Amino acid sequence: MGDVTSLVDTIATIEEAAPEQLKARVRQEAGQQLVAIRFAGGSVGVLDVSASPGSVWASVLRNLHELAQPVYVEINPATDLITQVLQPKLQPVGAIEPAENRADMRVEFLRSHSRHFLRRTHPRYAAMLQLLREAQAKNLSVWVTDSLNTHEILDVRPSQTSGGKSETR
Amino acid sequence: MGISFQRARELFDLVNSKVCCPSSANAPCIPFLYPDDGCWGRAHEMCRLIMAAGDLPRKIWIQGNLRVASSNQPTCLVQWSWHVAPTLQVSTWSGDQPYVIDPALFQEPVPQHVWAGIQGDPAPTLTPTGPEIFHLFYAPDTYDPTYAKTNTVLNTYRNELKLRAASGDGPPPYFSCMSRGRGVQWFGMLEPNATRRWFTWGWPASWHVFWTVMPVTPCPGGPQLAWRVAAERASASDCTYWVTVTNLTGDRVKFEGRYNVLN
Amino acid sequence: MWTGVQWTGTIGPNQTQRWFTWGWPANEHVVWYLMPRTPRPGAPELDWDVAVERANAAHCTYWITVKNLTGGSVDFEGRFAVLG
Repeated sequence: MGDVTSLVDTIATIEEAAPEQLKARVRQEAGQQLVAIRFAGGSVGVLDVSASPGSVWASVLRNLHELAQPVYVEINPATDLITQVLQPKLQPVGAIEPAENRADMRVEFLRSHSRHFLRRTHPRYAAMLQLLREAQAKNLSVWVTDSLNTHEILDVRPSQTSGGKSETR
Repeated sequence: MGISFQRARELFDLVNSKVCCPSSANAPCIPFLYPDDGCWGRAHEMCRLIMAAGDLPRKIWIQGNLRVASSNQPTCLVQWSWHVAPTLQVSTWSGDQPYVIDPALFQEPVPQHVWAGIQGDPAPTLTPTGPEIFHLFYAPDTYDPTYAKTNTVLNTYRNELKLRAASGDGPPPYFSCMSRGRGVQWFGMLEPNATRRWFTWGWPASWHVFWTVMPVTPCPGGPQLAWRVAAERASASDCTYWVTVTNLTGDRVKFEGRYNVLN
Repeated sequence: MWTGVQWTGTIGPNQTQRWFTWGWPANEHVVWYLMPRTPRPGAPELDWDVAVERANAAHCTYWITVKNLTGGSVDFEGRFAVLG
């Protein structure tokens, strides 16, 4: 498995036909339909919308582009192919307290009734915890991205900025 | 004066008919199949529909350490700090009782104590309100008279449902959370517009066996699956059935392969 | 097991037409078949395909596509059997 770059940013443009220089980086297969997603911060990702998951991801990305909301994507830096799409949500921060396992933190978001967890094993655990505590203290909202099924916090961004590239993992 | 259970059932069916197809999830559908979050948006929209039909709902809010088994969550469990759903006063033999309309949890209206009891906290806090309360626990969102916030919440969780349906787990429900009922031979999933063949062997050839398929992924609006059956005599005593299933939709569909032995 | 006639219909010569029937409990195993009411001995009159739609967690809709294999109108019964 190669490196992946994760990115939280708003979408600048969606090119329904990816340019040739981007297509050249993707291993072409018959029937592919490649769309280029250009982000406000300058990054670019490519989606194959001829089949799921790319076709479904594209509909979500188009929706968030229309709403001018940020998206979370993971991009293969060797091919620019988007390998994951998640939806950051703007959340005011409620209680932050130890989870039942005592190792991780459980975070309450005031516009959500789901339980969210910040795992101590996350490489940016300390930085995200600090961001959450600052937002809680100042009554600010944050853009939070959580995992699809277990609602583990993957990324936290202040709401006054919408860009930024995360580290390669 | 409460309404009849029959009327409550009609109103349940009304809101339930707005269930989102997981992969396409187009507005104005309600993402009941994403139980993880967004209940206050679903409840406000359900109340709007019920009021448009001429009835007057209220809401019931529950707080506690809530844990509910759900086959619509890949982990088979949803965990909440609170939850909300519309209620209707239903006339019963013991007087008017609040019944809860919650298609994310039940397939029909249920008494409020049943709805609360299934959520796993032996001592939850229950707070009834009128339908106008959009969010009981976040003051800036207390009201939403124009339904703008409701539509934002519904849009967010339609997107979450789509993203989950497109993931490796596929659309709900999740087979690891389900047990095969009587007469179900296998669970399967088909990609959009795909046709695939399954086979099942070792059946006594003397049996008269009939095969059908049933989608388990709700997606109202048109036929989802068609199928054909062929048979192979594998030996003097046994046979193999080959069932070809076609997905007639542009969404992933999960299904049960069913049999009935007629003799 | 029980059986019944859900509907009666007429299909024109060489036509293909689809009917649907909704509100069936999805946990029931139901099979669909047709019976012409118009005698026309010597060759098959009707062929049919069944498709199914899960309308919600509890109910489904069956879609029956009927094909008239003859050059004349055929009256028929749309029959079902609930197997369990």
